[in-house]
Amino acid sequence: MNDNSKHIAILNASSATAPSAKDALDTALIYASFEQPISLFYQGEGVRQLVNNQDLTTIHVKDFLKTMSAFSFYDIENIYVCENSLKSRLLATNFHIENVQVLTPNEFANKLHEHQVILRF
Amino acid sequence: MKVLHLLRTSAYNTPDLSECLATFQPNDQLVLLDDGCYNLTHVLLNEFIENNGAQCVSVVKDHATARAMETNSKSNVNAINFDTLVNLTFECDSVITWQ
Repeated sequence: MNDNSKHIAILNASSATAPSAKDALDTALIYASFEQPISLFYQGEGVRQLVNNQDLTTIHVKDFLKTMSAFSFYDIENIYVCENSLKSRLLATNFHIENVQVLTPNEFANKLHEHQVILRF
Repeated sequence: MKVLHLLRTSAYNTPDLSECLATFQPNDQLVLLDDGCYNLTHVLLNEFIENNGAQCVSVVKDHATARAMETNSKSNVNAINFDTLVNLTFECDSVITWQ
């Protein structure tokens, strides 16, 4: 990987049923397939994308959440979720994907500031 | 790194301002534009300005004027034009658009 590559953050702020949630995932996978360093951040309603046992097919929405299990295949290893967003929504930390780091708001902000390109969906 | 936050939505109907301020750090800049101008009267922004000062907050003057939002209020937010906005994008290391 090129050391001069810009580090890209995909900031997910939409719930799983919003079209922008899939747009965010597609964008992340495209960048990753071109070996660009990508980190995923989940904040606000975006944290709902990580909730376990969802089944979007019951509402006739394509279940793109299953694709998230392929993150390690794409070398997407930096996955961060905002602790406050989870707590305010009474959500547990047993996510449907692995290697998710739960960060305090300060840690979340600090980590986001390490990225040169930040795309919010 | 210095981040420029472009806020285009109103806190009266989206959580974007709250989420933006949660990631805001010293040396960052916040610019209100489009419906983000409505945040000039929102308690969240006013509390933020009380705690952090108004020097890091700007509003695009034409967008505020179009919405009849006062830019010379007590909050002392900087009213800027588009040239200044463009300059800000060069001064900061990265940009987040909150919309």
